[in-house]
Amino acid sequence: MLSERELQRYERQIRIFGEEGQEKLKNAKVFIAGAGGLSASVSLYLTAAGIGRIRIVDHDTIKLSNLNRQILYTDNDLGKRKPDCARERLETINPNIEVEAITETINEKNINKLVANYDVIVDALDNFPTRYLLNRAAQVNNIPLVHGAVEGFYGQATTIIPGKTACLKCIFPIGPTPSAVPIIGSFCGIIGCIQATEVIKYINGIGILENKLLMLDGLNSTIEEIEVEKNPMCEDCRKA
Amino acid sequence: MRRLQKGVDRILKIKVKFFASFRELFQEREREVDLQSGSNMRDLLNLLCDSSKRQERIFDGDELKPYLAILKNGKHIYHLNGLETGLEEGDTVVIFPPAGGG
Repeated sequence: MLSERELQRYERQIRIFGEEGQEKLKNAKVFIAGAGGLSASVSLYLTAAGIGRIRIVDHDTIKLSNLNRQILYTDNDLGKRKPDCARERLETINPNIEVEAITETINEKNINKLVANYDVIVDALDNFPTRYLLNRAAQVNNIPLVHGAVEGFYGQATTIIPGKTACLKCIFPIGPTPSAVPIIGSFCGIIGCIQATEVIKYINGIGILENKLLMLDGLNSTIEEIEVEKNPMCEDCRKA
Repeated sequence: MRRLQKGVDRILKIKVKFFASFRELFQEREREVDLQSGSNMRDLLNLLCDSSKRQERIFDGDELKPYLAILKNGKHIYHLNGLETGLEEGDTVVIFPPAGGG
């Protein structure tokens, strides 16, 4: 049941998916991998939307060069652990939700335990090797994965449903080598907002980006879809 | 690429779509390319890479830059036959470098 205060807080979106939809968001558990640029807008909007439980995992501390895009943090947070600062900020924005901060490096050993019992996984990472671990974990644990990535004026997003859609390995069998890529904070925010919207829609059973890769071009201000197909022989998703 | 034999070979029309920074590299969003029947992805990319700048962004010697997303009708050519993937009339080929940051 939603409290009077929750009914007021979420009144504008309850008009879209009803109290029942809001309760679905309240009961949902979302795992966010990464507490950087994409995570900033994903976590802020999921918090504001009333997702009941959010777990954020990152190993990093806040550096000055993060602050053009990682808008959860301020100058006063330099040197602090990102997940802890993210939790503090998010709980201030919406005290009705639970945020769990975990300072760990996501690896092959801990990934399945980290995502266990979560309803949706958000890829807010900055490198493909860890994205592939997340992709595998999503398949093994049968949890939808909302992918997003950004570089300069360009970015992409899609939602991967195990057993149904192409997975990250089907679409990008070999990812780019990890590097500190150029990023415009506002554009990174757009990709994160698309990911947050995908999560909200998925939880409410509203159409999502299935087998569609959304391509965002900030330079020419365009958004287009590319149709993608599952690879029947994919090493990561063929058994899912 | 095989030379066109008059009256024997058909012309294939292939649609090529560029995304992300490849729109700047190729200075267009999409192009229709005519190829001889029997052509493959290597023929198409060789035709498109008509400058050293384009060549360097797509190829690493004779091979493709491994991380590029090159999809034929929605399937990455890595899962098909790589550069030797055959092309058919009406195929759509999508080419872009994926974003990797966050």
